[in-house]
Amino acid sequence: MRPDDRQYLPSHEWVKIEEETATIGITDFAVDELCSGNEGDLVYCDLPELGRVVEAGETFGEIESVKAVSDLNSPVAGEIVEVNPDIEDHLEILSDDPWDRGWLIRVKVGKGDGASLLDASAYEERRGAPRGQRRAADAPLLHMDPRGPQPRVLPAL
Amino acid sequence: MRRITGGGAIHHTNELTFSLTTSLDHPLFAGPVSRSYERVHEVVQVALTELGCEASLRGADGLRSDVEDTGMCFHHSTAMDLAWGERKGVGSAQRRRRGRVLHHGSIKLGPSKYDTEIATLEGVEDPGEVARAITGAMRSTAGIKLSPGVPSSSERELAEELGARAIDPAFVRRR
Repeated sequence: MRPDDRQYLPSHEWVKIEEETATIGITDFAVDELCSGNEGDLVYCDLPELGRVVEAGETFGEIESVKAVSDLNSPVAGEIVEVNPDIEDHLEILSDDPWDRGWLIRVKVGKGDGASLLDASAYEERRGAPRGQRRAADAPLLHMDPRGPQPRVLPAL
Repeated sequence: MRRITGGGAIHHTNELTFSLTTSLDHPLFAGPVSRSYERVHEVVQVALTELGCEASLRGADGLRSDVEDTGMCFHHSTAMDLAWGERKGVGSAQRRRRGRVLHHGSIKLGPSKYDTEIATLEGVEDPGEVARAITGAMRSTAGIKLSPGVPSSSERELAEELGARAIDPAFVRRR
């Protein structure tokens, strides 16, 4: 079970609100998706300047692994009042402790429409059990699909 | 210029760059990044086989084309990269944003002065031939049918706007 003292975005950010301050990070699922258990695969995390005002759902930074770049989205609206100074040089913190030491930013919660947030059980339902309790296998390779190739038309590139 | 997908530098000469974009719940891209690479590379592998090139996923061991600290995409390999002759042959990167993904790959038809000692498609001179092989493999391997098309004027305008951002020194030098 993931921590139930906070809420989640479907895009894998968590937010823990204490009084007027929201602490924001990313889930173990997000880290796993990016680096598949190899923490050295994370290469860069771009975090915002202090004082920037974000809307709920707005992108506040990005995280890059050796093979992909993903947005970081804010679950709440407000002003960014603190940025974790340890992350940039120690990305392994995100693999070791995404829930506590791996927080990314703190936001002074302002007025504005909130994003649609999930509690821990709803997030769990969407994303499967936490690391260690999850089956290693996910979607089979395409050629292993017993139904054979399934027709699927992409929009013209 | 700097790509929004990250990754190492590519010298775009004598090569084919292909891009795929779709939603993140598409069967090609669902789940971990590494799995999506395996699936896309499986398609590319089928295309390369058709062109007479026996490529395979790199796996655990490093490659002869690995060179430290050059910043070049083809000089850095991971387990999911496609290689032949113990050299990296397909360079790839992904951007994941708001439930969408942009994946692109580069396949070299010959060497360039910045990418020495890498795998190239010997005997194939026309990038269009590689593109057609990939399109065919998309259909035969993944059941995806691609239709020819041209960008609309609004898409062209947007591409120019994004292109200007990609060469903006503030973006290129950030970090």
